[in-house]
Amino acid sequence: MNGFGLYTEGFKLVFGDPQVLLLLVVGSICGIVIGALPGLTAVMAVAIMTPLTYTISPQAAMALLLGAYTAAVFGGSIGAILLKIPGTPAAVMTVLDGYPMNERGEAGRAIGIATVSSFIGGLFSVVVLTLFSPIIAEMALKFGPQEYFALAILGLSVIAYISPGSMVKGFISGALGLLISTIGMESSIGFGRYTFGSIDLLTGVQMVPVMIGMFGFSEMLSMSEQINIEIKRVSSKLGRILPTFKELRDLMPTISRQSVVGVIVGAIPAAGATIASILSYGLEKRISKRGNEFGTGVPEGIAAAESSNNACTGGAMIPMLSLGIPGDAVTAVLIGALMLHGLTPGPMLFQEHLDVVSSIFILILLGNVAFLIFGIGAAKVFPYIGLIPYKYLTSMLLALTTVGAFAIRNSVFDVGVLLVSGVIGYFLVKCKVPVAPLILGLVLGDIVENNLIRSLILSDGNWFTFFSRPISGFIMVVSILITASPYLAQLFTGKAVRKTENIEDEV
Amino acid sequence: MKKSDLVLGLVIILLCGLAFGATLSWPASSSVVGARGLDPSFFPRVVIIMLLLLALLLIWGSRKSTSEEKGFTLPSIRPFLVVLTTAGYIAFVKQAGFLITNALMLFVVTVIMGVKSSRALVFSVIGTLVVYVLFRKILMVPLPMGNW
Repeated sequence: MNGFGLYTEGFKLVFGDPQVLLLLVVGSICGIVIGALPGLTAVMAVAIMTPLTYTISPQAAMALLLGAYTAAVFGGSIGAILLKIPGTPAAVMTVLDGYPMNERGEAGRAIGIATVSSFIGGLFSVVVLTLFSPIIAEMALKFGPQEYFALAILGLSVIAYISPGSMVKGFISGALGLLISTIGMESSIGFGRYTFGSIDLLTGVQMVPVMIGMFGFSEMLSMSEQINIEIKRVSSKLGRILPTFKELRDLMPTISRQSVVGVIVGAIPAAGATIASILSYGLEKRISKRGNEFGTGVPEGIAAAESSNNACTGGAMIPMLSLGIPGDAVTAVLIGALMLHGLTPGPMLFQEHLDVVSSIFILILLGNVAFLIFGIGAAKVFPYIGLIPYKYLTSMLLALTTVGAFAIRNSVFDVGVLLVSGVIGYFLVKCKVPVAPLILGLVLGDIVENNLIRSLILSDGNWFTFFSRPISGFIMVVSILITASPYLAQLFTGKAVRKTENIEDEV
Repeated sequence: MKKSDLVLGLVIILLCGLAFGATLSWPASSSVVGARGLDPSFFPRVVIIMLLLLALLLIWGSRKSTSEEKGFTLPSIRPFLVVLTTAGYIAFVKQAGFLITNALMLFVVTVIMGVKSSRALVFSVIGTLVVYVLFRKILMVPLPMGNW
């Protein structure tokens, strides 16, 4: 890779157009609000905003979406601290120490620590992203179909594994996504599969309406069940918000450790911010000097969870940008958004559109700066989030999702796709089947199928081809170990190891 | 026994049956590729077989499980009404145009959510205008204007 170009190429794209920076600010503000509101998640924020980006330039689109993504992951902590309800699933661990601090009248301090920790975590992850994604993209140029197939399988195994509840359900969801991806024209002879004579289905099910349906519409249906979730205005006195230098110095070991954990978890295909913050909180509880005080309102607890979940953002972008394999549900939606602009993430993106890649690096960095400014500067208005009327919000979400699905290619048919996927998503969640694997399966469907077929052609139909090449063999073995690990653990310890249950699905 | 798992498993098996049945009438690739069985139906069938095995695993698990779970209950009919309203939107938006259909949808859903109809009326008009300005005026998305 031609060194410095990676950082400079995108400058003109980002700073040459005032629209880009304006949209970053809009995205950041919307992201904080959506993230802070319980029930509305980061992936929902990005999914609902994707249709807005269809008519603008790719970098303006990324400004809005990355601004929203980074801010929403941070915003979850506001709900956690002020309302005792995590605004996004990734903020579950922030409740444990954030709310007790609020009760002690230190809500402002808690928000300040969450903001700064999130910022440092996010910043660190951008550095890692810029360092590693070009290297991985370079390596990936040598990848054959076997490696791509193996990577996609790894992504699906990980997401099925980490999904709450039963792993079987995670795999069912992923396989359903793969099956949906086969709808439409296939590539070998151009035969239209499962089209039922519909011209609209010949081009396949559009990813974005499915994503808005599964992450936006179905959530909206769930919200409509409970109209009395209106939350009273929080009367928390915030107090001082900006952490002192000494406070920060004391928290730095925690923040730096857990930022590393967050980036690594984020970079593993399909393991997202929720899992990162849970892992980090648990780890820090063991390592930290104040570990036994965790849960009573210690800043270290907030710092661990928040630095980790925001470090995940840059981490998740690594496999997404360099390999085209999403690092979590949000990056799966981002792939859909990039594809709307004819940009397919993967090693070729670094070759052909280095400026866009570079602008993404700069934008995710600026996204972190934006939420730092708003998080500290606008903290005074955060207690008002309790006033947002959910009754009206549900209707407004419906209007935005329907018109959004329509806007992508001016198709009423896609609104139907939205409705159907929303209903399917709603029932899947009711049956405790996670939706994120389905979206991953849908995004990865083409990669899985094409590379499977190419590999089998190259190997003359020998399925062991995936194991006889070192890299793909390694990845396949890891995938199998992940899938088999609960059973292996059972075998060795003689008793069932329960997976983390009751953690809200990261949808 | 988890009833919801059993039902879900059976639904998936049914889906697999239908999806597999559909592949039977699909053409084979005429090229060398087809000679190896890598027809258009190859990949879907692989996925369907996986899905079938997973569904059987799910049903097996639901039989073993002793935990008495309620399965899913529908706590309210509101989601159903929202779905119906959206279906109505899809049916009429082309003929009636975005403005009227969207305002009607917003009004109905806001009332379903328990808001007084006078307030819902004001909200649906304002909400529709906001969405219209955002998509039509700012983002230049051509919205259906109806056949008036």
